[in-house]
Order: sequence, then structure tokens, then C-alpha cells
Amino acid sequence: MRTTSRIRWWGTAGVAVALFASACGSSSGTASSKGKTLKLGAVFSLTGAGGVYGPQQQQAVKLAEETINAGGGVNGANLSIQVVDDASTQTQAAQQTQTLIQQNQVVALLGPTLSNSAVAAHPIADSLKTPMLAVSTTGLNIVGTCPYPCTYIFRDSLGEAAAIPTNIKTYVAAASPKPKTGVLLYPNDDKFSVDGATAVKQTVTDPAVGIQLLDTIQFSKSDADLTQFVNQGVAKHPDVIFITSLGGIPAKIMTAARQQGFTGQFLGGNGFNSAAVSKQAGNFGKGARSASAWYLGNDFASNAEFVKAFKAKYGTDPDQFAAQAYTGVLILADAAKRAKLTYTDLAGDRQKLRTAMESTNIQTPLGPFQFTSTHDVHQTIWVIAMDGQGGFSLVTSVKPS
Amino acid sequence: MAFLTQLLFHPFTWYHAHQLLAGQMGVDGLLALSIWLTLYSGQLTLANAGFMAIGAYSSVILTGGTTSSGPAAAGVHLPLPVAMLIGVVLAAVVALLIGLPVLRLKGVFLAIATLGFGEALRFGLILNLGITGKGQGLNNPHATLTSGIMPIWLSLAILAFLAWRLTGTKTGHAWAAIREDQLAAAAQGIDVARYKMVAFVLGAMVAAFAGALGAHLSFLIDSNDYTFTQAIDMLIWAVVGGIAFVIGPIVGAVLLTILPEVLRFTQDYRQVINGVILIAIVLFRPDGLFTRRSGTGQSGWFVRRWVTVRRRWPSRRPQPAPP
Repeated sequence: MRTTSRIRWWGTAGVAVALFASACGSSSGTASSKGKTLKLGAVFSLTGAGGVYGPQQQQAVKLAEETINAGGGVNGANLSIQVVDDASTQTQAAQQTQTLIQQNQVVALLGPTLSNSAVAAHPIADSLKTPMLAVSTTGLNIVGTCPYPCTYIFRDSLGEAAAIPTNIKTYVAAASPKPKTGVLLYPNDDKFSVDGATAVKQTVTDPAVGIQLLDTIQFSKSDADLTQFVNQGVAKHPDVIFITSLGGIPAKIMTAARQQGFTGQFLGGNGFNSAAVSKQAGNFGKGARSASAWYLGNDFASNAEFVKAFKAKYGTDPDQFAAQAYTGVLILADAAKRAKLTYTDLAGDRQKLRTAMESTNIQTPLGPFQFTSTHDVHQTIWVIAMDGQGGFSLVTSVKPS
Repeated sequence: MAFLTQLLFHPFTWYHAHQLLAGQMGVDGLLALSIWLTLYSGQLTLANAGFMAIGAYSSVILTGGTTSSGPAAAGVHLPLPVAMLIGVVLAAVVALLIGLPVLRLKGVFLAIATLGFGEALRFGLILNLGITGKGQGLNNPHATLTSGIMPIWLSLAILAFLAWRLTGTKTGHAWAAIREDQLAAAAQGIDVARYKMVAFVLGAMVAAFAGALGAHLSFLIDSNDYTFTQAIDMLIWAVVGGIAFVIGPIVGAVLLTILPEVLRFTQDYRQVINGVILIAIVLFRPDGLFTRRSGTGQSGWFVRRWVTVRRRWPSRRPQPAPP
């Protein structure tokens, strides 16, 4: 026993010496970038339709910038992130991406907030060979198989194509009795919702799930009253109601369905994952499940510190959008640390940063984070349920395969 | 402010970092031109977002656009100019068909009916036909980010010139007459229905052309790009610029497209100031930036101001003779 503890002591001492040496090494590396500025840009929807998400993203990015700079910057270089508003329009998103790259000479970019803007902005960043990290776009074809070259595009936001199947499969696996029938409700004039609906339709036919869709009910996102659509769905007596939509729609559907006497399960996607939706649904939404990239109550250090700092600075809890934007800055800062940037050769630095981003492996508020070979999310998925009081509780978590 | 300084004093540097904005300004100019054609002939039509969608979707589908489940039209890969021509012709045919019943309406009723056409096209066809990618939109792998900008501005210049020349022809005079007084025009022997239809169809063709050009600046088109907001934007450009001359709506479109970028330095107040400027223009220039005043011929802003000032000057008025 004594020998083992002695060995352990020497081992610990050895590690300490090695750490000290490496700390000295990195501090000399720090000196090399001191006085330099690492310029990043972020294109967010601070106003317009996406104005309910953009401001939290901006807050999180500013918090991350401050935290990193207070901790000595990126190898000593000062981190400077310029956040611009795209007013939720494609044109402004694309234009601001171009301006930030060509005029403000940023090394890399975050954003844009909305998928619709991303398809306009990402091709620009890619054609100008500048890494752009999407932090909130969950649609199909954002990374991987894009309709344009996207070798410089990454995302840290969990796609609906991963979140929805995970949610449905974990629910079916644990449910007793097994759900047999479902109804799907979604607005057909919104890309996010239709992408999500496609994922639901594909998942229910999976033999491990085996839910029969009794009806697929489409409406417009601008419809003020959804009662008739909900009635049509509830009348089929499904075990599950699937909702793939954003903003006020999921809460409206849950409220109407419960009032019509629906007692089954609500399953959805990223559109559920906002405290605003949970608050709006209130008790009617209790138990509604979705797969999330992030969970407020996770108490591992990288999340607890983020939540605490966010609350101290802004007085409110962060949400998923804030957590993903914060993670985005951590990813870029970490990659920049490893990339040995020159701060003189901008094109070369962008190239180096892109390569470094591919080998990302860090602790973030989302949990341990890596990219897949197609620059998509490789992280633990947190299945959460609305608690009926404007919050969420953790149901289970699924580690990446 | 840096934006304006750069635009005025270093236009090439500005262009280097703002090509996309330049392209959008051109497309918006074309759209403004399309709505001018109907407004000049006294018709308040708001169907142009629909025609824009027809041009955009046809040109993307025919050049090899893809939906999320594969090619929109398998095996079809037409060159862009051919695809655009088909889109424009299709828009003309549709305009002719809906124009027959709809153009009998006047004023706000015409506006509502044409707006209805745009929304019916969107909710009825685009969101339900597999070929358009429905709500997921249509991928356009053949988009070009920058090489489309010169053709846009060139065609805007040519079309604006043609439209200007048109105002001096018999057709142009007929449009002006119909706008001023439809009954009087008809009494003069002008075939009101025909001339209105010509303006409507030409406007539809220009809108479809603009839609096709705009679509090829973007890798994804989506029905939300052609909503009634887009139709209203065109109307605002025309109202701000003034409809007396074809240059009015085009300048209106270019100014209002660039305004949000000019105002970027105001940060959080950007939208507010944008709105205030719009209200100010409508209040102080109710006929738009470029207007014609009866009795002053081809007069613009300054002439009109001067005339108004002279009229208000009491000492210039002849004094009444003492009794």
C-alpha cells in the first residue's frame, strides 16, 4: 500500500512539474501574440423575425469575449468580436458577411441566426475562404451536403434531423404501453417546420418506432387561430401529437389540444426548447418532450460556470441559443489557440483556423464537443420535458455514437 | 458614416466589399420599374411579387434546381437565358389570363384582387407542388454570387431607357390619359382595356425577369421571398420615388435598399430612423422625390419648390386696386 501511494505521490509530482513546464512553455507562446488582436465577426438577427433569438446570442458572445480576455486572451492576443444585425433578411446577412470578411478582415465568423439567411451568407464565406460557424441553424443541408461548396462551414447547433429521431426513439423505448398512432401538425410555409416534419415522417416508419401517422395537418404560420386544425387532429384519438414548429405555435397547439381532451404525449423538436414556449404552454405543456443540445440544470463545470456568469451579468437565465453562441466563441478561440496564427497573413490564418477547428475537442456548456467529419455536431443530446412552470426537467441523455 | 464616405470617395473599394448589395439594388430597381408600368397607367396592382416568383421558380427549375429529395425536373438543364425567357413568357401568359377578369376592377379593389393572386399562387401552388420544393424551398446550385451583377445593372439601364422612350409614344400618352381620367380617355377613343392590359403584362414580364435574375444570386429560393411584404416594398419604392418619371421608382428602390446599410452606424435606432425617414419623405414629398407639376413641364424637385415659394410671396401678388 505504502509503495503504491509513494508511486502515486511521485506520479502526481511529475505531472505537476510537467504541467508547470508546459505552462511556462505556453506563457512564452503567450508573449508571442501579446498586443495582437484576434478579430472575429458575428452576423445575428437582432431585429425582425429572428429578433427573439439574436439578442441572447449577442449577449452570450459578449460574455464569452469578456471571459476569454479576462483569462489572458487567445495566447495573449486580445479577442475582439464584432456583432452585426442582419434584420432577419437574406440580403443583409449575405452583405454583412461579405463586408466583415473583406472590409473588417475578420479571421472567422459566427452565424447567421436563421437557416434562411445562412443559405445566403454561407456561400459567401466559403467563396472567400473564411470559416463560418453556424450557432443556431438546425435545418437540413447547412453542413455536409450543401447545394454549394461548404468546406469552410461548420455548425455547433444540433440539427432537427438528429434531435427529432433521438427524441421519438427514446420516448418509444421507455413508454409503456407503446404508442401506436400519431398526428403531425406543422405550418407548411416555414422551412424550419417543414424540415422537422420530414424528420418526423421518416422516423415513425422506423421499425423500432412503428407509429402510424393517422393524419398530417398543415396550416400557415400566419394563421391566427389553430383550433380547427387541432380539433381535426384530436378527433383521430392519437397516442402522440407531433409538433414541428417555432415561436408561439407549439404552445397554442398544446393548449387547444388539452382543452379538447387530448391526454396523450406531445413530441417536438428544437422549437420546444425555449423557456418562452414552456411558459406560454404552462400546465398544458407539462411533459411535452424534445431533444435539446443543452440543458440549463446540467451541473458539470463548463455549464455551471457559464450559467452563473450569464446570470450575474444579465440577470436572467441563458437559453439554448445563448449556450450555443457561447460555445461557438469557445470553439473559435480554442482553434485559434492551437492554430499558431501569424496575425499577418490573413488568408493563411483563415486556412489554419479551419484546419484546427476540425480537430476540436473541448468542454463546453453543451457538454464535451467535437465536430463530425462533415463539420456537424458530435455531442451528447439532452432529452428534456416541460415542467409545467415555464422550465424544463431532464428526462435522459444520449451519448453520441 | 464610413459607409457613405467610402461610397462617395472610394467607390471601387466600396464595391469590392458590397457587391451583393449592389446586385440587390439592381434587382430592386427592376422590380420598381415593373410596378411603375402599372402605376403610370393608373392601376394600383400588387401582383408583381407573384410574377417575380413565377420568373424565379421557372428559371431555377429549368436550369437544374433541386428539391430536398432530388432534381426538381429530372434531366432538364437549360441555359440560364433560355430558362429566363420561358419564365418571362409564362408570367406574360398568366398576366393575360388573370388580367382579363381582374383589370375591370379599380383602385383598392384591384389592389386586393392582385394581392390575392400573389398569395393564392404561394399557398395554392408553390407550397403544394413537389416541383417547387414546397415549404423547404428550392436549391439553386447554379447560382453565381457576383458575376450576375453586371447583367442586372445593364438590363436595368436598357429597360429604364426603353420605358422612358415608351412614355413619349402613343401608348405612353394613352397610359397617362387613363391615369388622369379613365372616362375622359375612353371618350377620346382610347381603348382603355387594351392599354391597361399592355401595362399589366409588361409589368409582369419585367417582374418575372427581375425575379429570375435575383434568384440566381441566391443558392436557395423559398416561398417566403415572394410574400405580400415584397409587393408592398415595391409600392413603397414607387411612392417614395414618385411615378411621374420612370427614374423615380428606380431611385426610390436604390435609396431604400441602401438606406439600412447607410444607417448601420445608428445601431439600435436603425429601424426607427429608417421609419422616420420614410414618414418624412411621404409627408414632405407626397408625390415622391421626382414629380411633375402642371404648368412647369418636365420640372423636378427644385423647380417645384421655387414655383411654390413664388406663389406664396405676398409682395409679388398684384395689389387690389383701392375702391
